[in-house]
Amino acid sequence: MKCGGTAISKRGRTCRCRPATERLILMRGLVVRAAAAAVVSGLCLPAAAQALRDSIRPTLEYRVKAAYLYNFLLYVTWPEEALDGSNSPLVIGVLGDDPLGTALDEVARHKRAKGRGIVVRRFESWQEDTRCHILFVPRTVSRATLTAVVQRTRGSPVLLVGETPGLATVGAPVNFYLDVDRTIGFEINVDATAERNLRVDARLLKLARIIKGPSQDGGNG
Amino acid sequence: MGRNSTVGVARIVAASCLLFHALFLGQTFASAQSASSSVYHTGYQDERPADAEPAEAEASKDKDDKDKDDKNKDGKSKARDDLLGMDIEQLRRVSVAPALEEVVTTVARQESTVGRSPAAIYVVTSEMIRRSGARTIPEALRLVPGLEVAQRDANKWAISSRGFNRIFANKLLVQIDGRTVYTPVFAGTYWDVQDVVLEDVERIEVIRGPGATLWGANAVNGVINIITKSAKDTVGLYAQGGGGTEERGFSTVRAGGCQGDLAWRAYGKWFERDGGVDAAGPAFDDWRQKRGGFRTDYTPNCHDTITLQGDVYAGTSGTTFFDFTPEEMQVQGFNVLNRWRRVIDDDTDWSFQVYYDVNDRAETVLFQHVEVFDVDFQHRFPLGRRNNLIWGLCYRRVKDFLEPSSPPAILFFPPDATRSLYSAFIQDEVTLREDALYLTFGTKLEKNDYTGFEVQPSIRLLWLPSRRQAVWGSIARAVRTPARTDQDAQVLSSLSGEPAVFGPSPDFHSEELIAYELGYRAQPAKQFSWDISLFYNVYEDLRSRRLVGTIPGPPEIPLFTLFNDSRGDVYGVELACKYEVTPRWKLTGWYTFLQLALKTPPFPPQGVDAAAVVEGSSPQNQVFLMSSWDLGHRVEFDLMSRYVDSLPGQSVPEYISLDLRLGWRPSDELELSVVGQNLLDSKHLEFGNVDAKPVPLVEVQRGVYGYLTWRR
Repeated sequence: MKCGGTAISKRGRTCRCRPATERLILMRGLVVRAAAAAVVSGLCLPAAAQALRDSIRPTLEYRVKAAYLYNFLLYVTWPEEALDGSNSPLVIGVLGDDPLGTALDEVARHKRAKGRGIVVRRFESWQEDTRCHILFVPRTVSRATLTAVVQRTRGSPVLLVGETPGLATVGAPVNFYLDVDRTIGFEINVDATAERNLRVDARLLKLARIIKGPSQDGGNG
Repeated sequence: MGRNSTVGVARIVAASCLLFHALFLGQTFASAQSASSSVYHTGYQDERPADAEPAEAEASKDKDDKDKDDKNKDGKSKARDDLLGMDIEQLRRVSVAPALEEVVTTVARQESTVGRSPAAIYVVTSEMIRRSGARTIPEALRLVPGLEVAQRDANKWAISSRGFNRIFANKLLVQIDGRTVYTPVFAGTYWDVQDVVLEDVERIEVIRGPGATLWGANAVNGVINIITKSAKDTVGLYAQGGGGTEERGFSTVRAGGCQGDLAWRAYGKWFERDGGVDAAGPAFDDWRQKRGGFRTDYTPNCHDTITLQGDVYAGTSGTTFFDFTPEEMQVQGFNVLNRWRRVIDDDTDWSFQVYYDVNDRAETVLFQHVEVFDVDFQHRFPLGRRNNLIWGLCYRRVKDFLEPSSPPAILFFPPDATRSLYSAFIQDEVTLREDALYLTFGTKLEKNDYTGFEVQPSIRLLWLPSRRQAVWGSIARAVRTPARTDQDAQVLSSLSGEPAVFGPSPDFHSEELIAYELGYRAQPAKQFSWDISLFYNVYEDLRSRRLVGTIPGPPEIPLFTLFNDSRGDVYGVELACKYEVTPRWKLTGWYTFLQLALKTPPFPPQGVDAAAVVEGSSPQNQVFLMSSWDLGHRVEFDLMSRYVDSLPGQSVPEYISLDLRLGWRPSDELELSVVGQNLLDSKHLEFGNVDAKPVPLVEVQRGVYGYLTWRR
């Protein structure tokens, strides 16, 4: 609510400025206009964009998590049927409010994995078509939804990545946790990855806290 | 305290110059090394044998692609995060939370952060303990700003916060995993039987100042919470063994595993410590103990965690404490604790905890058998948009059996007793302004069998001017309730060579504190954080002794009992900072000042100034510096130095100590360490005896030990 308020007041201020700028441009003719445009576009716009970008730059925690997601693309092998064609992109999905923001956009913009491009898709709700290779579920997502998503993606080749304590135990393949030394660790539920036909590289497993279960027939309580 | 102050200051200056010189040289060396080779940074994974997994090969190929991509596109996006260029192993080591965001639970009985805690809190992490080379909990507590940790002999410590230090420092509450280890018989902590596998400690949280609103009576001057890791975090094998001159030998083995929802660990440890030296030669204070225990954490779903843990120990602690005749005191005990915690959502949870704790101490002067049974419930929930409420109930039953020696030296009336404690607390955190201003207030209400009802309220205000700063202030009341020894004990002792009898003292009631605190903490840069706290404590009804009559003779023996005739003010400053000079060199330092001004009726009437003894039992000035430096990715060099002011009340001169540790990891699984303790002198005195009983003073000796640690 507080954030919304700030944004509106910022926009208000920009609106008030615009007539003044236009008046200036009209008065000084073409050369001045060109110069002004150059100055505005060359200095102000990138600066403003940069400022805006910095202001919504994800926290270090989420920049690390975004980097992890990129690494998961490298160290997890998806089954053939999950990849349409040889050069279709790999998709990272985010459910609900996305805390990864620009950190994930940077991954998509600058990185490639397995010789493929990377695409980010953001989903409002888990009921829509959430087809992707990695699905990140932030901790802001309610527990009921979490359980539903785990259930729904069970058996399909989706690397569900959560950050809610206990999520790996109920069947999410990967779950982040804040380690005692304030680093970010991750749990891998090896039963869940096997069930989803995902092969996890040994190098990744070595760094992970290994979780097993729940058993196939067991519900999720 | 002005004795030899010039010499003292000169010594501090010389020592710190030396220290900084050494550190500066070290720093230059370190940067030279890192410049010459960047392999150090990536750490251990480079030497890992290439796994034969096909995916591995593919992954590495991709990584090469990625690196090429990086080079091609670098021109376009210079400002890009270098996190994306990191190896997964490097990523695993990135610390995401600044120092102020360290998680703590002691201040609010729920997870919060140091930066958001309106109290003088300090956290000792497991990494700090490992780097310090500490073998015991008291040694680990030496890292905490302002805590007075004085080693009385090889197995006894006097540990207190903000004054009133004694062997039985009775104003400091100590807990291990939610189990209080404050002895209900002698009011204090038997440090010789408090032990854990230090590797399994997640963190030690220490609050200086009152914490009675949440934790109850006796949390007057401080609370120490030792929190061990969840069994989920200790999967694998761990073994450690070593020995040396003072630490004669020690070994620890721990195994942990995880099956589905159930994680477990079990450990066994043993140690033997050499005694110190007193005026007559070797003191009889050697110390041997073996201990075993387990912990299981069961997480059937994402809401519940059920923890079951227990320990059992037995050992001997050499002592000459009550009597000149040396003896081997036998100690043994066990405890079992069960906790069920349910998290409903981010703001709502409850937990229910039960524990049973049995301790036996057999010394010539007294045999003690103490059983504690405790049930505790707490519930947290939001009320409206601004209030975060936490409340709880607790019942504790203490059953003891105290058998005197014959002829008796200390008698309890009655010799066996069962005492109950009922308590409740409620605390509300009001968000006055989101992320800026918080008001916390609450109270503990408890009923004990000695003094009836006790109310211990507190009010705290927290202001966050920015994300990197916090200002807090608090006013709190706390009481130290009587223990068995205060009301029920009769000590047959002597005074200036003449026999005298002390107690029982049925009129002794609670000691009271009203504390005013103010604090500020800030993290002006990512690498640097500091905090300062000021406090002013007003004590009423402090313990004193009064001559009440004589026991008809011949000879006539004077009879003294305990009263609450003493009072006083204590104030001080505590300053601490952490500085990460480079990612591989961290400095931690603190300075504390403490002044006690007590008014106590002279005791005995003709003699000792009782106030001066208590005032002079805590160091006025303390300075601490710790440097943790990675000489390469496999070699660690740590230095700890302390200056502790003189204790005139104990006839203990000031001293500077220096501990060094050198650690080497030849492989991922193996670690070799050599530690030198108290290197500056062959022996020094840290504590006398506050009650001025004629017992031998034991000096702490220089010690060197080495050990091997294996983790898998």
